[in-house]
Amino acid sequence: MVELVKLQKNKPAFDELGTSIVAVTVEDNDGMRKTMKRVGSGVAFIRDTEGQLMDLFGLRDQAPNPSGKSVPRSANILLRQDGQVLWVHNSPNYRVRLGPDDVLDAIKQRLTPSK
Amino acid sequence: MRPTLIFLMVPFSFLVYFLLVLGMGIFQEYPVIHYLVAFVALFYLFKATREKRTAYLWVLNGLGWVLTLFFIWWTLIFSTYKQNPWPIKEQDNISARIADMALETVDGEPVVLPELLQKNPTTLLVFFRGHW
Repeated sequence: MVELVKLQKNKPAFDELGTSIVAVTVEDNDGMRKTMKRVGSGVAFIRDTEGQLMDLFGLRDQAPNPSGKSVPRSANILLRQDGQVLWVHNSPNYRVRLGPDDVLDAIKQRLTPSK
Repeated sequence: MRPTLIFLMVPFSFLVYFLLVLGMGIFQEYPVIHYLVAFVALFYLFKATREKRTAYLWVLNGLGWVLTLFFIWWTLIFSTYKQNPWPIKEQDNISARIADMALETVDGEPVVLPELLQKNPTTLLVFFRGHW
């Protein structure tokens, strides 16, 4: 979740690119509130109540977390207004995440029209 | 006392790894420095044990190896995802597939993702795993 804190700190750079950040969670209400409080207001949160969104992207981790709940793999997905997928990235393991600079670079690359 | 301190370098090295992740968001795919610190500690612990062969020192050696091998196994093998199919590719359009999903805000208000996407030229969805 600390990766969201880092993205939020770089929010002005995302704003400049016209990109909003939406965190997708399967946490319960208490967990979600706690996370939102820690991350701050620059990131919108939505709850994927039945895991449909994580399943669409094939992100459900086969190994549930210690409490027995299904959690998604960490991933970043860039979508255009019309629903076109511009970029997909998921972590090779559950320890590592992309930092904000890598995410911003990937977005810039996708938004620059290729000639 | 000194071998005990050397032994403690092993769990300390791994503890620092977790503190860097959770506190500062420093994600290391290969935490080489932490392995190295543990191996240096194990080397000196073994040296101390050769000079003074006590059961206590052998136990510290064993524990140090168990901790180190566990950390290496966890970081390099256990935490790695098994290959998942990645059903959505770049350039796919998913607007029809996300139109009717059970998504909601923290207050339980329904969220229609295609409408949310309309608010900005692009939207970055970040899937995360709760605390870690």
